[in-house]
Amino acid sequence: MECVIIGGGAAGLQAALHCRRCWPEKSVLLIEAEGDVGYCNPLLPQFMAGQVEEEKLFFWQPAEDPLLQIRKGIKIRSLDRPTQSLNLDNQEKIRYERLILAPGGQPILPLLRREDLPEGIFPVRTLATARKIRDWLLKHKEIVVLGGGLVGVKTAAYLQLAGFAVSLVEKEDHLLPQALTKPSARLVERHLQRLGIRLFLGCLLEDIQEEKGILKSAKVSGQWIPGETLLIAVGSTPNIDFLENSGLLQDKELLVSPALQTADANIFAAGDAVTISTSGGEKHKPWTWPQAVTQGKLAAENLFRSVPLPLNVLTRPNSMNLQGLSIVILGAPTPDAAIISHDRTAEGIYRELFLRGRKIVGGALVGDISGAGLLHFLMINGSEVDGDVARFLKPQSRVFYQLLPSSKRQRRRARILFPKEMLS
Amino acid sequence: MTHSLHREGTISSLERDYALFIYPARGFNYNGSGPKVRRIMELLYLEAPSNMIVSTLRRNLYSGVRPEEVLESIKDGARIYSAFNNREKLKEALVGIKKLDEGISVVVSGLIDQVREMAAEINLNPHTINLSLGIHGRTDRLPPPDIRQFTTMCGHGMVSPALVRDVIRRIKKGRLALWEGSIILAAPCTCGIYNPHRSQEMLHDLVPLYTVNRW
Ligand SMILES: Cc1cc2nc3c(=O)[nH]c(=O)nc-3n(C[C@H](O)[C@H](O)[C@H](O)COP(=O)(O)OP(=O)(O)OC[C@H]3O[C@@H](n4cnc5c(N)ncnc54)[C@H](O)[C@@H]3O)c2cc1C
Repeated sequence: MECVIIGGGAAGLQAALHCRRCWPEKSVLLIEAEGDVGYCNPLLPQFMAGQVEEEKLFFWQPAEDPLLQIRKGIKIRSLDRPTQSLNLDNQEKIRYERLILAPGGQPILPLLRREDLPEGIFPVRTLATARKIRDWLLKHKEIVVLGGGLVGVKTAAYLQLAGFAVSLVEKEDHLLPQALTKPSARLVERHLQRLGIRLFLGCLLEDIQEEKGILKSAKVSGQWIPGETLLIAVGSTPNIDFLENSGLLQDKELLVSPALQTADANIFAAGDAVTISTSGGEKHKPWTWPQAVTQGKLAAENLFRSVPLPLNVLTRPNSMNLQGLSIVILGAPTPDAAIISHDRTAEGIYRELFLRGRKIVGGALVGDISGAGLLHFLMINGSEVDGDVARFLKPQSRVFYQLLPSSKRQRRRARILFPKEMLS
Repeated sequence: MTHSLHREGTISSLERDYALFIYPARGFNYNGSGPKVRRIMELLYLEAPSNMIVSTLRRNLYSGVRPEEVLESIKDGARIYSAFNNREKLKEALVGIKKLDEGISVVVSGLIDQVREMAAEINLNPHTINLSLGIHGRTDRLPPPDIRQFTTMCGHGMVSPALVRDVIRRIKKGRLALWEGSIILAAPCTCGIYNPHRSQEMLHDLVPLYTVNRW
């Protein structure tokens, strides 16, 4: 086989499709451990909450293509670089000319390394487990979500609104610690509390209790929270165990160059499994859906390119509407960056930028996301912001609305302003 | 003896890289130094340095030269240049040299804190200390820092940045193993203090960061 791709998630599928487009004469084989390819992980919280039907999750349907083969339900056991081959768990061996690794990651499972786990504990990651969670939730209404990152917060919000009683546990002292500072996270916390979610911040899962083989409650920093369902959405560890003896890992990380090439010139990697390392020694882990898509495409393009091109954006911007609260994350807070903020917490707005020198290196807009595009543009171009930096932070909605015709103004307002009823 | 002072790299990497020189000096102990240097050389062979050269033969440990050939070549005025990748091994070598007490000048080069500590541990009192004050001038013309970690290991700058890149390219294409690449880089260094063990580690770290652009 000429191009083999491991993993049929966001990065792997895009890599396969793009490979067919860029190198039409090359055959492509995509191998996926699970039974589904071409669905959207970010919609899984809505799916679990019963707000989105399964067919809506799929954004791609296979079409007839003799040079694109997709094999599902097969796991790669190991990689043998000297013979350029992969060993599958069904004892088969597959040779490759070029390889793209896109095995993604999975939540970290604390404490739960026990063998005899009761029913009701699920990691939040794949459609297969989301189906099980959806079925399980038909009979079990009390949920504990472990992990206050993006996945945990989204999962908690959608399930709470679907009528479940949700408790959200985060070990740091504020939500979305990878993306927001404490004051901006405060708005998200208030929003979730208004939705009715019980928050346990700065708390660790210590133990679980079961009854007749089913989870009954979870002990969080000394306190027992009742719940028959524990959804684990803590962090992400790359699925790279199968690369253990391949010589591609450094300190348990799959390092790639900015052109997504691994230590082996014939092997590229993309998505949540990789750490991108620049020659300046910086390491980036932009593990988001848009990045996985971009990286999958770039890895495919670079496979046979005479001059492989680097990824030009290494940040992890993200935007979402969390049941009425708009959030744009430009980049994570870093210890050495200065923070400037525009605080209108009473109105449900908090906007902050992280600056190194006069360059924007990150930031977050909560409640009012106007000007996000401009700020993102300034950030990725490394532009020096001159004059009064704070002017970028003032919500520009009002000026912006005045320029719009009134019908559009109404639509715009509905989309991006903080709903009034939430404020009361 | 400044040529070994400008090795660049991270502290954790430099902690495993020391240069040791044995230098007879004209007018002091030059005449009759041959047998003394030879005895020191014999001792150093037992301590397994990472690399070593004697000025009378200029063939490093990995050139295929036999120890007898090296020892045979030693005559009055011969100097030994060696590199160690292990602090403890270097300490043992220094203890041995001290015991031999041949009266020939010994220079150790490495991270100053580490070298001072080592000297204290084995009860040696350095009589002269040279410190590197960094590199000045048109530094923009130098190769980038990651490549300089390799090129500065040869005190005379004989390891070319282009060779380093070429070795990285060949390793990434699977044509060379890390150690083989390291030996190739060590070959042009005629001062014999290029440390291939450290270079192997650095190649391992650096290989993923570079993208090969010629298939
Ligand atoms: C519930 C949820 C909500 C999310 N919400 C957002 C969001 O709002 N915004 C956002 O930007 N990101 C979001 N993400 C993150 C986003 O989904 C991931 O960043 C993205 O899916 C990463 O893509 P990937 O291809 O690297 O990995 P994945 O999509 O995880 O795909 C990897 C695939 O590889 C397969 N695989 C692994 N090992 C092997 C093997 N050995 N052999 C064969 N196949 C293997 C796995 O089965 C998997 O299907 C969310 C994630 C989840 C789970």
